[in-house]
Amino acid sequence: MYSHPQQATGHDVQALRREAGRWLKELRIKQNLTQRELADRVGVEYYTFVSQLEVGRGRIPPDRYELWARALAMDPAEFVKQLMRFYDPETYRILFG
Amino acid sequence: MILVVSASVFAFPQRASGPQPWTNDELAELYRVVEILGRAGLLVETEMGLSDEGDPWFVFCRRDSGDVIAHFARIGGNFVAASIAVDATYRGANFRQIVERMVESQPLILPPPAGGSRLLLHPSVVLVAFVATALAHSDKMLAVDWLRSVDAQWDHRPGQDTHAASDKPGWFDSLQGWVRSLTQDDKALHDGPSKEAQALSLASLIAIAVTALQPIMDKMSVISQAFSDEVSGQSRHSVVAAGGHAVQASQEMPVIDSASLSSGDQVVVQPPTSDRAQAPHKLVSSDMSGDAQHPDAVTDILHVAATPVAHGLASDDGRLVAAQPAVEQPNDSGNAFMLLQQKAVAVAAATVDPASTPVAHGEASAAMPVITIDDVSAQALKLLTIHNSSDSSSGAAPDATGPAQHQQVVDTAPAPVVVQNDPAPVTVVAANPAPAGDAEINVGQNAPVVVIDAIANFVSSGSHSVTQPINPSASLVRDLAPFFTAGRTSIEVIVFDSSSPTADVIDFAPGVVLVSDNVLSSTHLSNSNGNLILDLQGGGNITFVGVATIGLHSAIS
Repeated sequence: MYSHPQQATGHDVQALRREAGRWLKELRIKQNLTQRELADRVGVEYYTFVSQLEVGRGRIPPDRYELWARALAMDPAEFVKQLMRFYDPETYRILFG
Repeated sequence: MILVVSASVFAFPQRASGPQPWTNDELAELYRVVEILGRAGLLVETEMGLSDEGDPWFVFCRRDSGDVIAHFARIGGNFVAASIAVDATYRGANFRQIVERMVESQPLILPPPAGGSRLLLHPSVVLVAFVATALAHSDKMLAVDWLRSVDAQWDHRPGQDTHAASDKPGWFDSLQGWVRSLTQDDKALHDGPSKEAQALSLASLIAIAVTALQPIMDKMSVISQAFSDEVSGQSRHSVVAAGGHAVQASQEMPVIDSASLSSGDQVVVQPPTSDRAQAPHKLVSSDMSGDAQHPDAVTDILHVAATPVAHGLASDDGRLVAAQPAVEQPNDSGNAFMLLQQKAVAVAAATVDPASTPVAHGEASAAMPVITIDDVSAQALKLLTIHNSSDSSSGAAPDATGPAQHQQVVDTAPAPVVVQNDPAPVTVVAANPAPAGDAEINVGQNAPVVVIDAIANFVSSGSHSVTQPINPSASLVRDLAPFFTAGRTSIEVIVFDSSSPTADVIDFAPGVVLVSDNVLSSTHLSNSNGNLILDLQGGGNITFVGVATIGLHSAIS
């Protein structure tokens, strides 16, 4: 199962995850992909994981960032930068202001 | 003692074609995992949703971080289970097949049951272990706590026979090996468990679950037996009376009908509208001999099963939808246990309304139970360094409170899933003045019953209400929400001041919760009739500075 330890705690973590989920969903729809198709492209065994992510539960494991970026037709660096905004806002703030 | 297990629990009907939401049966099974974990002090959040194709999923999350630890889904009619602890995805036609595959993939190392009882491994225990394993992998100190707890329980079993004792080393070594693999290999926590840890983890957790959750399973056996009697025609009168409890509950509270939900539905679960008195609940012996005990047994199990689970069903578009009232399913006498489970889940789902506003009321609660030492939670006994010598059934050491030591809130407190709206502040009205005077009790120099009586009197006298308004934070209100179990519309909060307890919210007894003044915005709380100071055996003291009655009042009603 795909997981990654939480790097931030606080009341806004869930809100950020939901925001990330909405962003991922927008990207997927923009590519005209179903959740199952996206799951196939990124190698997820059970496609409901995509649905889980899109409602803001869990996060993409770092070792899959590039796969996800390619599947969603994004530049990996830009994709990770955006994800960092949701997953690790403090690091994002320090790096990018 | 025999644990009776209903095989019908997993007898799910054939599914209609096309994706379907979780059935009540399936939800009952998943929430039973939440319930059992919660009874062991392992608090998890849950969330469920539907994919864009309509396939349902259900996740268990750590309550502190929200991290997902286990994922269940039904995809194309096949059940899927995955967790962060096991590098495998289990698939099956139903939960039972998943359980079978979990068991097939791992060598079971089970402890001999206590007291010569015959233990049947309930499939739910495997599911519980599956989720608990994931929880322990994400929190290695929890694993260490469990090991200590299980060790203590083993060594303090009453009637332990030589066979059980001789079996301990190999079994216990396996547990130790598993815990060692966690605690000595931090990398495994981040990169995934080692193969050795995986090989031991599930089997060990099943063992831990069986042992640590034994008292809960004992209680489950009581209800199983009660309904077995109903099915077989025995104890008709008492079970009918017990059934009345269930029917009453189901009429007052909505029944989950997830099948009627579709993406985008927006329904609010209403809290119970009546203010039914909450009868004190007592554990009953599993070797019941009289019919008259059955109603209590059923009531008790309803209490056990009726965990406050205010859940959100996440639709594909990210909105949260809740269950809506539905027509109750017909009573299938051949599946009475399952029916009770459905009712219990229905009660659970309806008990806590995120939109509800807890308010305080000055009058003493008429439903205030009499507190005896048997009512006091293990965590509270540990906090007060009291050994419940009257508890001869568990045989556990006084400090063998198990996983509960690790949690802030224990007993009937699995986490409500999604609380979207912070409840309004609580205001407590001053009580009538009364002659002042602190009372001081040395816990070590008094019999436990004296100490508990003093606390019970402090709570129920009506003259120790805090005299200042208090405004608990929204997070505290959320922490208190799980204590509004089925039918309980008010709880007594004892505000305490002490530097000793590590937890701010402590389950004390049914309907009574200890809350540290640290988490209340008001300072210098007091009551008109004096504080109760408990000098602890190990040094230090706890001062009870007042009592507040908090009611669950719906802003809607």
